[in-house]
Amino acid sequence: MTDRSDDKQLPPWLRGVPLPPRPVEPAAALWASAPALPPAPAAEEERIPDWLSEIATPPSTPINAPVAPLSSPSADQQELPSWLTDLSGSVDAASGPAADADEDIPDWLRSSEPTPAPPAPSAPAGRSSVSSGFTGWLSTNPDSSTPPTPPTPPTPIKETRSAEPLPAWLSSSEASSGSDESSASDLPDWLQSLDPAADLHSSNETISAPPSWMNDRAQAPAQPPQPTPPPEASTPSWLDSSTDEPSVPPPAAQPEDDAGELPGWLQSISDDDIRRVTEGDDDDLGVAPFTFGSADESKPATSSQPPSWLAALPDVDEGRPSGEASEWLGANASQLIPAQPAPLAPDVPDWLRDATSDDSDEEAPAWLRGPESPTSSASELTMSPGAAADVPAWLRGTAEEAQPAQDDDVPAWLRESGQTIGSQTAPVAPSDSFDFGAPPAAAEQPDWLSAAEPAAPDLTPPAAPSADDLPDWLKSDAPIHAPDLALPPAPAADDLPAWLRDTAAPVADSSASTLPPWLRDETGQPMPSAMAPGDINLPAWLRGADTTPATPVPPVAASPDPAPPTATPSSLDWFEDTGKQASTTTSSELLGGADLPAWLRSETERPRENNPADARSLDWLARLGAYDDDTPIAATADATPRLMLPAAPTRTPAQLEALTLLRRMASSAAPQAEVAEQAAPTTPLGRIGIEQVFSLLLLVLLIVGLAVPGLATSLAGVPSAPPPEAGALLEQIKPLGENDIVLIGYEWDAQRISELRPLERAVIEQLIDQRVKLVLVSTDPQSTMLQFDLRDRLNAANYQGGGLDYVLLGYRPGGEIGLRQLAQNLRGALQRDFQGRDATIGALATNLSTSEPRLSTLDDFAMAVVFADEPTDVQSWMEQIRPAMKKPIAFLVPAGVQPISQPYFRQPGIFSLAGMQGALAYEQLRGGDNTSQTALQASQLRLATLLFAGLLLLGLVAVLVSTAVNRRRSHS
Amino acid sequence: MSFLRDPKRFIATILAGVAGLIVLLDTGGPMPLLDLMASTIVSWTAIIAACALLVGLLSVAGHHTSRIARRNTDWGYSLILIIAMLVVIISGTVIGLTTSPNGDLGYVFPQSLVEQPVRDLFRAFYQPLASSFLGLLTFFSLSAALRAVRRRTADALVIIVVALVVLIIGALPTASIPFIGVGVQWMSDYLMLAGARALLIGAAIGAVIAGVRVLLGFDQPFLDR
Repeated sequence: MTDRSDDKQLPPWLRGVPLPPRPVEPAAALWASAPALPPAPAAEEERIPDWLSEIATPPSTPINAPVAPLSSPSADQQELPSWLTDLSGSVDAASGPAADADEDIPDWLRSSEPTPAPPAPSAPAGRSSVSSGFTGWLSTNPDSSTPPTPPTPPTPIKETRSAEPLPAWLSSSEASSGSDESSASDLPDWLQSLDPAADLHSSNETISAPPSWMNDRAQAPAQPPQPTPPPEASTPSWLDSSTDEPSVPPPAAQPEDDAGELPGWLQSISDDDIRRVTEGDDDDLGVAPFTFGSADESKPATSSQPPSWLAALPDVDEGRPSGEASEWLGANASQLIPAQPAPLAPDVPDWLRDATSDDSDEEAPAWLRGPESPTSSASELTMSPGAAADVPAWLRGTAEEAQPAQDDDVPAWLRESGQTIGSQTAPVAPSDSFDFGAPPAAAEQPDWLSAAEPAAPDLTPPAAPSADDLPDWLKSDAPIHAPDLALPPAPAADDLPAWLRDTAAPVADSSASTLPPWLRDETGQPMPSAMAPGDINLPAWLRGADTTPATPVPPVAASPDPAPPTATPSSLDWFEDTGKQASTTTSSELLGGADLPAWLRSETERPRENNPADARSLDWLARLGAYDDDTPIAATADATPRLMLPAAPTRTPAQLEALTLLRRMASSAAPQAEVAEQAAPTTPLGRIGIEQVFSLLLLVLLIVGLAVPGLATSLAGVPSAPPPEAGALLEQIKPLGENDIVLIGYEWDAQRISELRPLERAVIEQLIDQRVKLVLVSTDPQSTMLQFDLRDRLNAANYQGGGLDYVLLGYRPGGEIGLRQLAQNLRGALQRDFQGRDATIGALATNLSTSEPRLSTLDDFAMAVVFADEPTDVQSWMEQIRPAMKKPIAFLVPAGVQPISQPYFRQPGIFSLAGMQGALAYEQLRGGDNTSQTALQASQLRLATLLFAGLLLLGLVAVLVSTAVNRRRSHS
Repeated sequence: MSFLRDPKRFIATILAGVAGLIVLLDTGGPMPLLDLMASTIVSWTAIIAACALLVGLLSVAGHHTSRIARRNTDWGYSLILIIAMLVVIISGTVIGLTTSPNGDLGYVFPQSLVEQPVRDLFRAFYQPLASSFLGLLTFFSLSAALRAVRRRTADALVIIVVALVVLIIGALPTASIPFIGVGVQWMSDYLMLAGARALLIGAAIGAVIAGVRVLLGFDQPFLDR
């Protein structure tokens, strides 16, 4: 046993350090000094927000509230839950007699009766008042011990605990409470301060200065507890189930004296000390100011300093007034300190306000609220219902999970530990009492919490290692949640405590306890629609879902393991099995609930039988929540019905071969272009090339043929028969005179000028000689330029323009469209010549004497002569003009076009003349002045053709010879 | 259904079909209303074709201008093209050196795009270049024939032999040679004519099918489809 006064792990006020003087400036250290103030008046109460007023309200102790409530009784009645109403009723009846008051004590607290609490040396009145400000577990512990009982060492406690197996974390705490000092160092500070031996020992010591809030309690007049049954409407939903259940009257007798409700450490405070602290002058005290600072600090801190677990907060500095602490800190402090002043309420952050609102409880999901109803924690007893509502949902669930301690369902080990811990943790802030609430049932835990169990060091719950991962502000509170997160492994069914064996099944089967509040009526009873589990309450798409758990989660998992886990792997086995079962069943259940089409349903998905009992045992909403949070994705994917892959198509050998070839080509690199290795030419002919030699030779011969006219004239002596086409055309043109109008079409390019210019010259000269009137038109831009060359010749032949002797229409866009336009409306085409002048008013288009049009249609022309260099031109004229013109049409084309257009030329009324030979033949037949020149040109053309043919023949021979020689060389 | 979902395609197809049908029916016989409509459509088409020529001119100019600006490969040729185009356009539209009735030389705008300055350019540059470009085919033909013989393929040999025979027959006065002249004329009147007719008839059938497809909207060359 260590001397508590020397234990620096303990707060100063537990070590006998006098309490700090009352702060001079309440605004600076409001949270610390406010408890010393008298109960808030009604006017001040109005400024206090509800959540703070509820905290500050003395009726926070539900069992016996000696302090008069600040608010009206009716309001308190509305605030009190039903289970508190029951308790308060019992307290009311037992306010005087101890036997009746003892009934309010739950079994698990009654079991602690044999454990003598540290005696309260003095000031029973003060103790009674102070005890009224504490929770039930704080007040009931002293009840079990008579006031004059000397301080009881923890030995009886240990004996009581040894009766039943304890979980490991409790065992460790138990061990730490022994003489093993080293093990105590493993505990966090706040737990080390709970060393039962030290605690009990410190209770014997004189506490020179109790905290100011304790003084406040001490000065408060003791008032008889007033039963304030809250109305049903204000009862939280999570408490409705508990109210419906028949409350077990606590058999333990309530001591008459309220001082008996004080914990040992409070009973150890003498009235003199309290009186001296509360009434004496601060200066006279001469004691170190009270501090919540860390016990490690050698010198006492000021009263504005928070305790060690709050010192970790960033906003709490030593030199910083508590009033400047962060808002949430004020809110936390208001919960930690019973009589927290109200002015901190506006500083509460919004999220905390929301969390502290009463509606938050109803908004909490079922998995958070479900466990609350059957149980109640010591923290619940610590805080008033209003304060409990102010606790965030995640804290409230943790705090309320220990509620079974109120009933007889508390296991024996928990009763003992509750007693022990209650007695040990009495000096600690009330929030620390969360630590030793009963571990929440695993079945009522959300899956995400269950999944976190293996990670949580369940072997040493007080020193939760996960606190390292928590933020600073949570690290101080981490020990509060450590036992909740670090659940002991699920024991076997036989290892279940009795209270769990009894309550597990009803809890699991009770749909009312797991129903969300909106499925319950005002009295907490399930609504008619909620009585039918599953389908009725579910939406239509969920009604097919089977609410029966594939693997019923045994309530065993929900109970704490009384046996201390020996090794982590063994403790994880049960979790792994459960996880496997859950992973294999939840996915199928999830899919089974959906309205899947038949082709998507797996064969293994069997229609489930709806067992009403099983269906009632689970809440559909909780199941959905579990799916959302914890359903393993892999397991869900595995259970997803898979479609059968279609059979692979059979490939023919040819396809396989092609496939192989494709793969080989794809895998191999692109073949590089092989440069043919040519043998280095050895001879000059080989180096130059035969083609180039013959080309050069042809060029030389042509130049020689042009330079030496005698060579060509020697060939002109050979007579050649004129083609018949030339004669027919000549016969067609020869009768035309000056009154005849001939349509001349220019549809050729300059490339063909070597062949078409002779033809043009031969035919046009004859027409000009015969003074035939001409209308020139073209649908080719290039040919239009060549057409204008004819203007000079016409002008030279004294042809008058302007529609008198000829009309130059120029370019007609559109190709065939222009020709068709010309065929459809000749007069319209004549209204604008190449200069935009109207040609219809001329003598060519209109008979000036009679003013009748001479040209109305194409048939008014005597003939049409078309110069075309492409077969398409011939085709266009034949298709667009020929249907509208029955008069003869002559096509003058190059020699290469003549064979292709031969079918048109063989038609009646169609004449043709092709190439240079046709022009020469026409000239020759015509017998004009250019006969000698035409003969020379014909001889030159013949010479060039023969030279070309000779060179080509020679080239063929040379190539054949060279190829044969090369083969021989290669063979040799 | 796809036509209704694409108004642009639908409208274009309807317009092309209706216009083509009107022009087609106009060739069937003398119908005044159809003649008027068909002539109007043809006039519009001619104007559109003229505009298309102008658009083509601008497109070519823009393309080669961009090539010059980006110094692409052979941008020098593009520069020559642009210069030549500008010279032709300016000489044909702006420069109109002519003689006034009083005998004074002056600048007047040319009355048409084919006045003297442009024609001189055309005659001096374009006509010789175009004709000589065709004359180069002589050497190309000779070189190609020799290369084909070196390959010693049957098809090439047949083509070369036929070309050689035609050249020789055309160069020589074969008409006076017995049997040869008649034989050449027979081949021209029957074999060559039959082949040419088959070619033309086949092209005509193809044109009819293409026309029907355009009229029915299966092909939409006006939408570049």
